This record gives sequence, structure tokens and C-alpha cells, in this order.
Amino acid sequence: MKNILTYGWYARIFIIVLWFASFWFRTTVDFEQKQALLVALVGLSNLTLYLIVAMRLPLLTHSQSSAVLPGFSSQLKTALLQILGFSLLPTLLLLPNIWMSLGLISIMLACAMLMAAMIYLPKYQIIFVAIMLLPISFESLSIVVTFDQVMSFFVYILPAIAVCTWLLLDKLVVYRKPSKHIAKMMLMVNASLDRTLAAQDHIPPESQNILMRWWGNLNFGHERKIISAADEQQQRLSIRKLIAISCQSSASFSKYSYITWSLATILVCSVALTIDQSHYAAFIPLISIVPAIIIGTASITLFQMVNSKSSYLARLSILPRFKDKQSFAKALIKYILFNQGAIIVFIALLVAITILTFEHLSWGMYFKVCLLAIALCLINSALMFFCWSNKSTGFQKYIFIIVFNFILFMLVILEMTHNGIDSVMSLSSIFTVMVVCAGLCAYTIKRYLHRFTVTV
Amino acid sequence: MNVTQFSISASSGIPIYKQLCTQIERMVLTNVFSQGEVLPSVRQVASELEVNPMTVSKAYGLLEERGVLTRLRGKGMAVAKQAQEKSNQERLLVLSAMIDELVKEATLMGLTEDELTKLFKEKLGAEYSLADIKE
Amino acid sequence: MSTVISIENLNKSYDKQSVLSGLNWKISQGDIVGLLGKNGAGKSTLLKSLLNIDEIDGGQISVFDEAHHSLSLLSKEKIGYVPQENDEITWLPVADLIKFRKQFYQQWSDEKVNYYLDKWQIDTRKKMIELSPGQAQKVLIILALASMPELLIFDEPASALDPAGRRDLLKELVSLACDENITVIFSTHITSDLERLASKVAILDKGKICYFDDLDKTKENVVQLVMHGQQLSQQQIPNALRSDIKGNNTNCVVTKVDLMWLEEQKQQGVKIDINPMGLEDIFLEITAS
Repeated sequence: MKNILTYGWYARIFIIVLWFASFWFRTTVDFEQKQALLVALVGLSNLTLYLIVAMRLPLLTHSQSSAVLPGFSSQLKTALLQILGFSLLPTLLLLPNIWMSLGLISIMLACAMLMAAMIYLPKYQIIFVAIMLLPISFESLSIVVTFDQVMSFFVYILPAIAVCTWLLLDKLVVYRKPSKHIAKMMLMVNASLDRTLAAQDHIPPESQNILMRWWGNLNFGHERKIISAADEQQQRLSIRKLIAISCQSSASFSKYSYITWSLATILVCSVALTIDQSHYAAFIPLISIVPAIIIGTASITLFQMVNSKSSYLARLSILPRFKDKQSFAKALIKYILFNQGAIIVFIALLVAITILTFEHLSWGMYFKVCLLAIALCLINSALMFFCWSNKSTGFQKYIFIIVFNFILFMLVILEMTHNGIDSVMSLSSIFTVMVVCAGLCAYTIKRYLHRFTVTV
Repeated sequence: MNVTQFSISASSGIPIYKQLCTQIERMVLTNVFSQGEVLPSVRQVASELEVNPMTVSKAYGLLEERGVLTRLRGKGMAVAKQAQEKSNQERLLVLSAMIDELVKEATLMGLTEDELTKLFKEKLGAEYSLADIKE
Repeated sequence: MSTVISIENLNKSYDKQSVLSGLNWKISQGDIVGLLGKNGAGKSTLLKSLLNIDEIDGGQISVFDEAHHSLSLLSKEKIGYVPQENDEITWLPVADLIKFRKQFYQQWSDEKVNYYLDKWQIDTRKKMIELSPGQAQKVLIILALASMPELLIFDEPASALDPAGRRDLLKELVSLACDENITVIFSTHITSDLERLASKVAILDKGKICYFDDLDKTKENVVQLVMHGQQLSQQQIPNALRSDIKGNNTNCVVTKVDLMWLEEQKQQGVKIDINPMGLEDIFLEITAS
């Protein structure tokens, strides 16, 4: 059950990242200055966890098993309590001040309740909006509230909140009332790991919200124009382009994703240029992990999309456009490598822009970061080709390794930006890593192609 | 030509083409199709009955061999001339087969000859008087 | 009759489980073959293997007299495949989907595409995800037909449709068979579909094609015999699949009535009833033995 509730690699990665970041913060940064930030980091990670759990709760409470299996409700309650307890561990371990811990626990429990309420009964979302508006209303009413005051308040109401949570939990595990809203939610989240992203493409347009529809139309409109133009002019699209279209989804890293990230970076840099340099330290962790997030999510998305489309691609591979399956495999390899290459070039540009603005890395370091990024993409590609060269269909372990690599990369980058000197790796060791990764990639490509050589 | 006069059972143990053959023959014998009349096309029948057109053409082909139907250039399959002349003989043959079945069944049930004859006369009487009323 | 597909000694496993083993099959041009098998027997696997969508583990398959893994361009154009599941791109409208698919072929008939789009009244502005399952299936069929194939392979057509939709689709397949004059293979576990459409029936069981013959002949040959006053075992009856003794009589199912043996029995005064069997019963008997 816990697996179902916490399903979703993106959220899991994000939460783990935040926990790592909090840990790093705790051990390296002076707590007194940054206590609000630390609390915010831990709080944010827990909030994300509660959000994904809350979103997946309807799958269990409204499943058929819930009505039929006798111990279901108590099992669900146990699972939820375990997740709750686990989520509060970082709070207890990382926050040095017990007062702060208790206060945060109290806030977290309240948030958990609010999340669950919002998911089941959308009208409670108004409370969320109200909370967002509180700071502004306080400002306008000239009410001054300090961080300590807020914490103290929550510590005092902790017993009440704990009791409420307990009662609500009991009610939650037996909640069965159906609604259109819940049905839509279930459709969105009811997907296995392989099909998480693909499921988004299978939501009927009427059920999609405006943002999703706009993004979808934007993304796919580009593809559709290409297809129509090629058809009108009787031109043949390249095989790589055909595969790209087949693997496209609303979650893919498309042309517009590039544009969005570029704009976001330019925006952040522009803002940074207008403010005082002393504030830069706050931006740097974010700027540092952005390349890792882009590579990580783009690689995982690519892998998942090709996997979810594997039966479709297999069907296309026997069509007259491909001379034989080997030529199809070669085209797929080109597509993957091109995709990864484009991302690396993009990252290199982005990081260069941020360095020009924030000057948080030397150009020597920048070179190292680029090499490590290339190594990461090579090893990810190698993993993908290795997975596809085996005829089995188990993708999970590969995704796990890719995620692990991505976290490792991120930690390395964070360490490099923090310490500012060649603390982590020398250039020669980075080169070695790159060569090894390139070698692995070449080996796995060969292995993948070998799968389609015919042994008569 | 109303095609819906044909009816077949796809899941029967009797092949569809045989069912069609039997039906068409019966229809020719009972004058539902008159001599020289053109039967609906293979495509029409196949479409109406939702069966494989090859099955229909197999049935038509078989009937052509037996001389029940004949192929008219450009028009399709039509009822053959001789079919009508053979009719009486054919009719009796068909009925003879049916009576065979009837007698077999009766014997199995243990009916005596008298009981069977009595039943037969009753049914005959009822049917022919009904025919009189209709006329 | 030229052979379109010839399969010899095909072996295929999935996740270390053998699905097909030592399978042999020959399909001639113009056949409309219904592949019958229980759920999970490996019908999809067989079709995907012969198309080289899935790689085989052993054996030889030739399509249009060429090795199935290295078909010439011309042969590839002649094959059309309609999968069981709709895994097409969901975000392209049908019109663009057709244009996209056209990119993969040299031969393509826009007239045919438009004919069927018109006949089946498909709104080409809609995306696949917006169409009903029946309409989506029809789009997949159009995509398969557009290259004017000589060999059409359907994996469980109409399996996802309700009875009305299935009836409708079958009607279309029947007229397709009439119009197109091509070799068709379709797999199904619904015998009534097969009885209407197929000219030949193949039964896949325990990894092999255990039965393959003309449908009409099958119905004529595979019959139930009831022998009154006799108690015979299976070995004593030629071509028997099984034999049950009930009271004084023997019920048995034979794959072909041995006429000489029948004559012998009649002369001995044995009363024998010959009962024809529907395809469903035939299938159950053959797969049970």
C-alpha cells in the first residue's frame, strides 16, 4: 500500500533532493542565520510527500478492494501512519531545536489534513488560497508576526492538531463517497511506473484542464505542422524525426520546454542583476541543481516514453521505411544520442549564462561540470541501451540506477559550487570517468544492435 | 428480390453453404423462385447474411453443378429450366428422406405402426382442410 | 495456390516460458484463416512472430517466399497488420495520423483511404482518443489497408467492442473480404465470428497448430457418433478423439468418419447416429484431447 501511495518518481526524487539539501544545509551552513530556510526546506519536502500521498489516496479508498477486504481500512491507516511517521523523521533529526521540531510537526500535520481535505472535497481549496493570502493581508493590516511567534503558536496547538489528525484519519480510511472530481483524479494518477507519463496522453480532452490543453496544443501543434508540411510538399521526413514524433508526449522535453527553461533562466538572471550581490548566495543552490534536474528528468522521461511506446515502435520497425530491424535500431540510437546531445549543449549554455551573472563557478569548474554532464548522459544512454538489448521487460531497476546517478551528479555539483575549489575531482579523474562511460555506451550500443542480427 | 428469405445459422454443425443449398433447392421446388428468375448476387447475399462471400459462391457453384441453377452472362445465377421438370421426383426424394427420419424416430420411441398411421392421417386431415379454408 | 506463409518448427518463449514450440503452418493465397485458441494460448505471439514484430527463438518463417526477417521492400508493402490494442499516437488527429503513417510507405492509396473514411463516417479532425473504440479500430484497419496489402493480419478484431459494435465490424470485414480479394489471417477466441468469416480454421493449442483445415470440411468431418447397443473404447473407433460409454450406448467424437468402418458397423446391424457439431464444440473437443 505504501508503494501505491508514494508512487511517482518525480515527486520521490524531488523529496529526496530536498532532504539531501536540508542535510547539507544542516551540516555545512550556520544554522542561526538560515533557520527559516532549513525549516522551509524540510517543510516543503514533507508537503510534497503529503501532496502525492493525498492524490493517490482516492485510488485506495475508492477501490473495489476497500469495500470487500475486511482489514483494508486498518491496513490503510497503518500505512498512512507509517508514512506520516517517516516523514517527520527529518524534522526531528535535522532541526536542532526541539521547540522548532514540535512547531514544524504541528504545521505539517495541519497541512496533511488540509491536503487530504482538498483532494476529497475541492471546496477546501479555498482554505489553501486563504493561507497564501495571509502574509499579504497581515502586511496590509500592519500586523507583525515573527517567525518565533508562529512557531510558538503551533507548538501550543500541537495536542489539538494531533487529536484532530487522529480523528480525521479514522474518518478518511472509511470514506467512500464518489464524485466526478475524484474520478478525474484517479484517472490521472492511476498509472504504473512505465505508463505514468503515457497516461497523461490518454486523458480525454474534456477532462484536461486549460493549462494542460494549452501546453498539449502548443507542443503537438509544432509536430503536426511538420507532418502537414511534409505531406503537402511530398517530402520525406527523416527517420530520426519520425521516431521523435512516435515517442513524443506531453511530458517530453520538447522545443517549448527548451524555450521555457531558457526564459526562466533569463528571468532569474535579469532579476539577479537588479538586486544586490550579497543576496546571490540564496540563488546559487537553485542554479546549481537546475542542470542536474534537466538532465535527470529529460533522461528519465525519454526512457519511460520509449519504453511505453515499445510495442508501437516494434510495429513501426517492420514497415517498408526501414530496410530491416537493424536499420531501425540504428535510427533509434541516433535519436537517443541526438536527444542527449542537445540537452548537454543546452545545459552548457544555461550554466554559462548563470556563471556570467552569478560568477559562482570558475571557468575551469565550468569545464569540469560540462564533462561530468556528458559522462552522465553517456552512462544514462548506456543504461537505456543495455535495458533494450535484453529481451525482458523489467524497466524498474534501470530507472532506479538512472535516478541514483542523477542524485550523485547533483551532490557533486552542489559540493563543487559550495567549496569553490577543486575539492571533489581532479580533471584527470573526470576524464577517466568520461572515457569509461563512453566505453560502456559503445559496448551497450553494440549489444543492442546485436539483438537484431539474424543467426540463421 | 428479397434476400431476407434466406436464413442461416452460423453456429450450426451444418456448413453454411449446405444450409444455403438446401434452402435454395427447397425454394426452387416450392416455386418461391420461378424458372429463369435471377437470384440475388453473391455479394448481396453475403452482405445480408453477414457471411463470407466465398461460402455463398460455393453454394451457388454446387447448385450449378447439380443443374438447379445456371449462370447467365452479365446477370448472375438464375434458376435452371430442367429444375422444374425434375421437381416432382426431387420433391418425393426430399419427402422420402424426411419420412425416413420420422419413422426412425417413431420406432425409437416405441410407437406402433397403427399409432403412427393414425397420427399421420390426423395431421393430413388438418392440413388439407386448412388449405381448403385458405382457398 | 501459391503459399503465402510457411512456418517450420517455430520456437518462441516469453520470460523463459515456452509459448510456441515446434509450430508448423502453411497458408495459401486467398485463404481467410481464423486462428482459434484459448486465452493465453499464444495467438498474438504467433502473429507478431511471423511479422517479425517479436524476434523468434528458433525455426524458419517465410512470407511471400522470403525469409521473414529480411523481407524485400515490395513484400513489406504487401503486408497490413491491425493490432489488438490501440497503441497509436493519441494526440494526432486522424487526418495527421494518416499523413504520418504515409511517410513509412512508398505505396499508398489515398482513394482507398478516403473511400473507407467516407464509408465508415470517420471524422478526421478528431484525435484517436476522442473516437469510440469501434471507430478507432476502423481507423487502424484503414491504416493497414492503405498500402494495398495482399496479406492482412488482424489480432483479435472486435475483441474490445460490444456485441453491436462487433456485429458491425464483422459486416465490414465480410464486405472487405469480398472487395479486396486478399489473404486474411485473424485470431479470435469467439467462434461465432470465425464461422461467418473464415474459409479455413486453425486451432492453436499447447504451442502448436494442432488442427488446420477448411471450415466446411471441418464441420462435415468432425462429428459426434452415437452407437446404440455398443460399448466401444476410443481405440476401437477409428479417428476418435474420445469415447464415452453411457448405459448401452457409446458416444464418441471423431475427426473424420471412416466410411468403410461405418459400412461394416451397419452391416452388423449397429444403429449409428451421426450428429454434426458446431465449431465451438469442435474446438472444445480438439483442445481437450
